[in-house]
Amino acid sequence: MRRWDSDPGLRQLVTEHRAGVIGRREFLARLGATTAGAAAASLVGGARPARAQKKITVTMWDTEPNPATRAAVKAIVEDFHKLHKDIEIQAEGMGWSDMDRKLQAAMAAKSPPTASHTQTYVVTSFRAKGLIEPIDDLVKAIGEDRIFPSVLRWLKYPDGKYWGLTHAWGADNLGGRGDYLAGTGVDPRSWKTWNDWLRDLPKLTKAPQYYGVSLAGIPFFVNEDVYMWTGSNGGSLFDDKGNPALESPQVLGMLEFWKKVKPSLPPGWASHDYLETLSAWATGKTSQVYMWGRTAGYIDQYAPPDKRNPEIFQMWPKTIGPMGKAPLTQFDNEPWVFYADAPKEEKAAAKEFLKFFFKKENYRRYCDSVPVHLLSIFKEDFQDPAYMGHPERKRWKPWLDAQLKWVEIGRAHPLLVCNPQDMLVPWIGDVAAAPILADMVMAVVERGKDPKVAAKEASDKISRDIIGKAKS
Amino acid sequence: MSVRADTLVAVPGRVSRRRREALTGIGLLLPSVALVLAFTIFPVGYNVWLGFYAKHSLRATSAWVGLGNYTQILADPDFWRSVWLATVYAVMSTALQIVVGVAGALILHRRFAGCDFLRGVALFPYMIPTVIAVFVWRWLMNDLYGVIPYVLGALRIPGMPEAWLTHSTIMWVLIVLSVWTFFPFVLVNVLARLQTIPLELYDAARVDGASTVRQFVHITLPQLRNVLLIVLLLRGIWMFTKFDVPWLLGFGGGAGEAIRTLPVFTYQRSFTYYQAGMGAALSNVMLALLLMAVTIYFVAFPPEADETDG
Amino acid sequence: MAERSSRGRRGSRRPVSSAAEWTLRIGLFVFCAFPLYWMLVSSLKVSHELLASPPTFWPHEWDLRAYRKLFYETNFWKYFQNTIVVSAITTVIVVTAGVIGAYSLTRYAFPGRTLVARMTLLAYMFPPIIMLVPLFLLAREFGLVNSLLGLALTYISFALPYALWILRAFFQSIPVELEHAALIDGANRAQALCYVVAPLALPGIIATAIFTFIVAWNDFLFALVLIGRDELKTLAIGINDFFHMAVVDWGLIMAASVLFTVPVVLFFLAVHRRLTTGMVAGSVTG
Repeated sequence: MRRWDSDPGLRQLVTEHRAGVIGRREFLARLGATTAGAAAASLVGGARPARAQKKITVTMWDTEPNPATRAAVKAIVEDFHKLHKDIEIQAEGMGWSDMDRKLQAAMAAKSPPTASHTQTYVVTSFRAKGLIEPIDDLVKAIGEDRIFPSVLRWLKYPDGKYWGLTHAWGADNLGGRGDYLAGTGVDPRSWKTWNDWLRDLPKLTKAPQYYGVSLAGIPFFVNEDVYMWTGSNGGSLFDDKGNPALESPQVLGMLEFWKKVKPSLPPGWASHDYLETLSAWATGKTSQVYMWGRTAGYIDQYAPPDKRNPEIFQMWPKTIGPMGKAPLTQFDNEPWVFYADAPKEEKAAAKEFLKFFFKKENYRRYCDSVPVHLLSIFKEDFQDPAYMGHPERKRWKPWLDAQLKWVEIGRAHPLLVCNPQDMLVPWIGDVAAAPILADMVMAVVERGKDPKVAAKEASDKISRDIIGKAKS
Repeated sequence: MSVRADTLVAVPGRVSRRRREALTGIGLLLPSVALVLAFTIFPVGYNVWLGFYAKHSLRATSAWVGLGNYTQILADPDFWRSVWLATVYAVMSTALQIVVGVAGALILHRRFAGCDFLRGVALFPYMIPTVIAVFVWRWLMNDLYGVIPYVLGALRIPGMPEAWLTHSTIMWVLIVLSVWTFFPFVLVNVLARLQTIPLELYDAARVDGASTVRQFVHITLPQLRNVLLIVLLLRGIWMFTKFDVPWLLGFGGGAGEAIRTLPVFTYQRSFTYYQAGMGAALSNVMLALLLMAVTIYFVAFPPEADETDG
Repeated sequence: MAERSSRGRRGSRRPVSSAAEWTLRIGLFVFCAFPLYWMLVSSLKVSHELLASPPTFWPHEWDLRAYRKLFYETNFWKYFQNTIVVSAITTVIVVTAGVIGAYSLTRYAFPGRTLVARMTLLAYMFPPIIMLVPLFLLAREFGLVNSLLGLALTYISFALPYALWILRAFFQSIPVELEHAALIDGANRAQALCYVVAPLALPGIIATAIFTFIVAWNDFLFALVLIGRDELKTLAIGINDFFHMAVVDWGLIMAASVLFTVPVVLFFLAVHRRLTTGMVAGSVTG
């Protein structure tokens, strides 16, 4: 153990304290700054210790806190450290809502991380506020041509530059229990329109043993169904100026549709979290659910052992509303973004790390931590037998195929983006985070409010509380 | 025969001695107060300052709006609704916490077989982190898997709702859950005080022929007065400003719209709408409301009255 | 000196019927313990039985999987140690400073003492969530980010007002004559505090210790913002991460919750005897 007086900051503190220059409390308060500061470079990138740093410390926040992914990231970081002894990567994983809060605290202190995951729709807001910077060099270094065009298109803005780099992607699908079809005469493959689906929903509902479909009722996830269904009804939430278009017939049609779905929903749906909808489907309390690849894990965890396969847990087609032409689904492609206020050498080091990260052997480890959920951004991996041969990917191949299909037909859009141009609405992130749209749905579906009235109220709130503020 | 506590200091004689005593008193208190004020004044000051600005949570700059935030708040019916919800929640849950807490303390005051064990168990709800407590209760009340609706359904009580976590009933779940989580705070403080009540008082009353209820009303309650008043004040404030319990139960929307209390509303404005200035203004309004309530409290229950020893 | 009454003797004279008292006791027990029971049982169930419908009160299959996973695949043990350290530091400092401060507030006269006591209430009137950003700014200024000590200072500042309030109430109810007696016998103020006043206020001190410990033990928000490095995380943050995994493992969360709370309960089972064996006032020598 090092002697305490080898740390000059600590030595001075003790001298001052002994001489009575500072009191006990201040001594204690500043003690943290020396030992903690010297031992652990501040994670938030600010307050650097006085001594010269030999290492560049990079802070990277991501949104994958599960143990398997953390272990994979840790292994990749350790390998990187062996090759780059002058760089220290501090990679933290946390849920998006936690990251949101930490980001706000960090931004207020003007000390953002070097880079972080973010939601796709947030990139537009960050970019408009000058918080992030383009990373064309990184994208090109990794290989623009190797990446799915559907992934890249959402990262490129009218200035022609890439403002983020997706870490992994996924597409939302309608999952259905094959075993609940028996005796009902329902053939999901025949579904084309909402009317087809509504006709068959009651046949898939047998309350209280199981319900037709699980939907999440809390605001963030209600937004998903709002825009997916509006988009499937040929509409959009915003007009071409970015103002709310909630009183359009397509959105009103979506609200009417929701009212008709309600009898097939579990009675407590309005309080259900997204993950509860997944476990409900896995345990057979609902026939259908809107789901992502991670649901495979829920099935393995909570479904009866004899049912854990895609014959029971099938992919069923999404349908279109009366005014729609093609169904719309949600595209999950959280990108890495780089913060403008972070120091240059940290960002350069972070880019070096990401180049290392996306190398085949490293990236493969990452994707394999949640094989059917974290899908590779590289087209070639889906032709690679080593990638596709992973037991989980083999087992759930129909799920992978369903997700790839969306990417092929190009009808997988990020949250709240019904028309591609909506991506550029400056306040799309703020609308996504606010509960206004969810309140509108609840008012109509749970409390019987007239859709036109509810839509008007929601529009007014968005205009006043979000757009009005954004322009100030 | 009561003696005011500070007459201990009124040593007859020299003024400098009294001054030295006063300085010692201040000195003993200073580090604590300084720390608390540092961690209080700055955040409070920051919020007061920020309330006059419109600031996006992620942007470095802010724009002066003066009283603009406040006028908008006071004109917003959603704000008034959130104040109403917070008041209902605070009043109901505090009242029930006190009732259950005092009842629990009385139950645990006697020694009986297993009373130590029960005292530990009674503390248990308070010790669980809020996140866990709320999630366990969400699970227990879940319409698909919850064991409590299942049991209630099996008992065939008429009029039971199909699901508890819906607009109409979620506030009740919130109140019961909050009482469960926080009543041990009341219990611990009341029990501590109960244990220091001199037994002679009860013996004397019994000799005079007083019944249990009269003993409780005329001996126990007055002795508990100080503690209960503090507990009432603190729990009332804390339940009014409680954010994490209604948030984790309702997430600010869906069925949770029915429990969008003022702290939740404030949080949403600040963190989910990213409007830090508006959030600060809302918390200043909350502070003002609480200051009014606390002032009324101190007028109704002047602390000077409890300087005397019983 | 009046004899210390034995509670058993007193208990047997109570006119309320035993059956009613026992019903209340059992009622209290069930009310408090049922969710604990559910947590414990859920932590020992096989995953696919966790969400069985109808729910099972007694596991059909027992499994220690969740506990194994907790210790082998997560940093749970490290989080536990961190939380113990922070909570212990916080509690010791708050109790010490609270006792000294409350003594000062009740035994010394100086201008503004009531005002100071009330001003410290101000901190409680904001929801802690709103204090998040300014507290973070403050912590960064003093270099308290990513340090367990910084976290402890935050908790100390939150718990001190309560400590001062409740201990003040207890000290006020302790007659001054007792200290007079000690001082006359030749003790100084500090000794009077330690050997006379504090022991009589022990229940209040224990109540303070419990409250403070729990504030530090359970806090989530401030630890979230002030601590980033995984090896410094506290239990609350660690468990919160479990809710954000790709696949939320309810058994794991329940196992973590059980281990989070049961040791604390056991600790206070031991300590709280002091809560209840306060010496009866009436021991003033004539």
